[in-house]
Amino acid sequence: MACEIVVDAGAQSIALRGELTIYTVGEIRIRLLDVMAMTDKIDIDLGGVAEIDTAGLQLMLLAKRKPGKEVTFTHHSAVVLHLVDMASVGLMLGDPLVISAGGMAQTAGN
Amino acid sequence: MDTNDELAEALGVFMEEARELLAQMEEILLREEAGGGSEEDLPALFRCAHTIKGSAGMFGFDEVVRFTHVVENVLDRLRNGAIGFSRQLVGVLLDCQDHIAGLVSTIAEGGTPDIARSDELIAELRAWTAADDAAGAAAPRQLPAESAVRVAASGGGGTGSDYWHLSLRFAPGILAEGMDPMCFINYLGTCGRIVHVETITDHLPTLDEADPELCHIGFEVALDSPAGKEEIERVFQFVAENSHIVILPPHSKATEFIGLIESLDEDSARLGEILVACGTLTPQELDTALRAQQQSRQDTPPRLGAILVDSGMVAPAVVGAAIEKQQRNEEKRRSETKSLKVPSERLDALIDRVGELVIAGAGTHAQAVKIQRRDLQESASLLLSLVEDIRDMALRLRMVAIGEVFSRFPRVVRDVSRELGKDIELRISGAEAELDKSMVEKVGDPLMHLIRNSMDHGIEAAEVRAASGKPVRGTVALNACHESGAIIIEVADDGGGLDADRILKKAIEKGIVAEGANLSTQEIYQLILAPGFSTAETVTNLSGRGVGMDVVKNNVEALRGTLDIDSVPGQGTTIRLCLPLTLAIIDGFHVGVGSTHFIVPLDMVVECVELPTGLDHFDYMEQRGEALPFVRLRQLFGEHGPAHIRPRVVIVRFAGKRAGLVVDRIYGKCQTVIKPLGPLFEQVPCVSGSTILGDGEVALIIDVAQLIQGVVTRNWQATHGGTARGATALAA
Amino acid sequence: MTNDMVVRTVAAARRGNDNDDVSSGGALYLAFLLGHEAYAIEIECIREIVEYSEPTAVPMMPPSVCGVINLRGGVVPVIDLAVRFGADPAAIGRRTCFVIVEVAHAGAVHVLGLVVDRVNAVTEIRSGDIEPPPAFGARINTDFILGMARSNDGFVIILNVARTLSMAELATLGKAGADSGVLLAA
Repeated sequence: MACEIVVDAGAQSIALRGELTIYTVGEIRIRLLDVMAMTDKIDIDLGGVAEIDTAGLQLMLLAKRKPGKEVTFTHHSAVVLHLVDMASVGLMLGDPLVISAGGMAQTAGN
Repeated sequence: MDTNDELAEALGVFMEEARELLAQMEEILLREEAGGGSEEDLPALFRCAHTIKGSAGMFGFDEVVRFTHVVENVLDRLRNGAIGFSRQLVGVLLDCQDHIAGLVSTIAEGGTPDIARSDELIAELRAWTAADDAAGAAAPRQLPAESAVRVAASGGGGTGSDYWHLSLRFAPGILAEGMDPMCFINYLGTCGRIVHVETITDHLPTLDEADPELCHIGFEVALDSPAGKEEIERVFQFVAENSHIVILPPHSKATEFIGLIESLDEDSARLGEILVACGTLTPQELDTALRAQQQSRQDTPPRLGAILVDSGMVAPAVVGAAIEKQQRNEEKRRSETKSLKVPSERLDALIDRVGELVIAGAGTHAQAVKIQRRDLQESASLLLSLVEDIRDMALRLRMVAIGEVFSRFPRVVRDVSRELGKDIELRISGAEAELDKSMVEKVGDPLMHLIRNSMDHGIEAAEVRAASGKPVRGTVALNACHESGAIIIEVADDGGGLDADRILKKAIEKGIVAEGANLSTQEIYQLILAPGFSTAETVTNLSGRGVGMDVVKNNVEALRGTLDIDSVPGQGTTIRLCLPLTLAIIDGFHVGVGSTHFIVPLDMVVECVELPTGLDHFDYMEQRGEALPFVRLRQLFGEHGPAHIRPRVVIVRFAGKRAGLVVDRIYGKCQTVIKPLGPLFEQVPCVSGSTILGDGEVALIIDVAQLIQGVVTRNWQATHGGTARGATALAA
Repeated sequence: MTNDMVVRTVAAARRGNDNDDVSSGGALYLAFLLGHEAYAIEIECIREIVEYSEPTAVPMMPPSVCGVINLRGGVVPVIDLAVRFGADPAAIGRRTCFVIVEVAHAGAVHVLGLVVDRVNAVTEIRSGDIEPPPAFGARINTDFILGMARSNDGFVIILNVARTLSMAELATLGKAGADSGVLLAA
């Protein structure tokens, strides 16, 4: 399974579908840099991420820390939430998440 | 650069750093005194003293080191809660802070430090250090870290932690080898309960440089597990050899944690925090451990190659290593600080060049338009907008918050109010308003005068205040805000207000005004700015002999600013400084007269209208039922270039007054970089600077404030000559 | 010699001067024409020579101050030397150009532009060849003259730059202009 990277027309948002893992981070990083060259504010939709690993988590942190760019992750899928939660990087990423009654963080407003 | 230069430069950096740290100490102490201290304050206070001592040691400023060491000890005890703050202690510490500042500057200038004063203060501090000697007997600094920790951990030598602590730094290639660190952590869950995972991102490169297939992050894990060490180790058995995995069982000795801290790449203070975050160590344990480190560090002569003075104090190897590492990290951190000091000339040179770049970019764009190449045109305009962004950023580099000046006043107010025996509170607002660095440097002294003056002459004695039903505690408010391309700084007191009769009487006595002069209240207030005027019955050493206010006035005028006085008898006085921002980017309004270009600061422009016909011999026009005085820039500036048959009037306002500027052409809004005109043009009225337009042409910036004042004067004179309408409109 | 060539010589001369002393007590001067008179300024204080462009007039300045120009992003005042010397303003011709000089004032170096009719050459003048300014007979105020040197075609007046371009004095001229300005009379 690979990753589908959908860049919207206004280049304001990217949707990732499929794997956010060691097998796809190289490609995603390059596409991300391309989009960042055009805009300062990017929403990254993680709703379609079916698999994520340490490399994927690391890429999220890298994107978030790119100086001068405002990256917001949205629609975190369950696997993403699980990993973010386990690594305690929710605060570090700073995206709005809601802790549901079950204790699992969820993307706010979705 | 030779060694001497390097030394001088390093010394400069040290001085600057020391000044900043001392200012920070002062701020914290004043906050503590006011009862508004926060949790972070005490460690910060300690760090300030500690850093000053360390840096002073590098320069061999022994007296600074000796004295600061004692202060640091007291601050350390404060930090640990061994002693608490008292008004008295804050007072002594403020004195100590002053003394350190004095020592640093004396020594840096090659003078002899005031050792007697040091000893005096050290003796005063003894009240707070003595307890240490009594209780701790020899708890002291020479003790190796381990034993110090053992004492702190109250027997057993182990920490209170019930959890396993795992420190995981994987080999960068681990991901490519098909192993996933998060999987290991997940798997750890089968041995017990994962209490906390802290992700270590200190070594994360930037997205641009990163190889996303290498592992740059590490983890600190707290695990609650009944399992044995072997079982936990087995989880990581297949991890590559160059991964760095440390597993500490519950109740490990503090020294083992120190060992762990030492073996890792990250800053030890931060690692300590992580250990606390993981629940592995309590803050108490961390503090004791770090203190043990620091204590030994204090006794390590800071100069490289220096010989241990006291042969008895050799720290154990592990602590020594930790100290060395901590020093390395601190040095690294210093070089990575968030702010960077750059000589302002370099910034100016950068701004000039970028300005040229903008012009060149505009030229390129114009060429692209001319040859009708759309693609080229697009890329040229993208380039231009990027360059313009860069120019804006470059300009903003010169702007600093006025708070930089304000920050020294709380201390002034505190000290002066004691000296005067008055209870006075300083309220600061608008500290974030920005103005040019060069301006910030120059407004400090005038403000200092004004504040002292308000405290001395403005705020009444406590009895007087009580008698008039005011709160005993007086207030001096310092406020800054941006208005019409200028910065307004107000110094307001809630004192007795100005006594116009007394001022007038005094002014007549001093021969400043003639007897029987008919002056408005405003004009009388302005008299306090006259040279040689002082209203205080007794001359204090604070406000001096009336040299204050006229000096202030001159300083402010030298900055092309204005000074207004507002006073309500019995309620207080407000002195309002209005200063230009100087080298700021202002939004300009570009107009043309003849062949010359002028810029009017946009926020002073109210509207533009056509000049009604038939006004050739008038200098005011009818506007919405009011008379609006105007000035023909063509006449004012002696322009002879091509005129326009239907001139326009740009209506401007400043300080509540309005006037019209008659111009030939209106080009519209433009961003304007103010360039000073230099000493040659210092005396030119009505022009505050110049700028370079998009096409490279130089335009002059009109000083609306001065111009309006000129128009007012002219109309005032005109009134006396008989044409009253314009003047009455302005006076209204 | 065209302006271009002089510009290059100026640059080369400045470089040369940094490295070694010019032999035999001589110094390099830039010679230029103002009306029919030849003048020279020590190369040390010359920064560059730029093409003439219409300066932006600054109101209420004396006629000797033509205005300001944009020199690579900096705003530089321009002085009409002819007017400064009491003659009529320089007539703008094909070879009119600005000689950009550096003048020290109040602890800072200021940059000024001089309007000259044409630049001639960079020449070496030995100190021994410089005669004191004449007591009378010179067309300009002798205060401005450092000395006279003989050249192929007559005398060259070596200017005392510090005096001629005294910022303090020029600024006072400016103040006089401002005080008698038209503002109040408008």
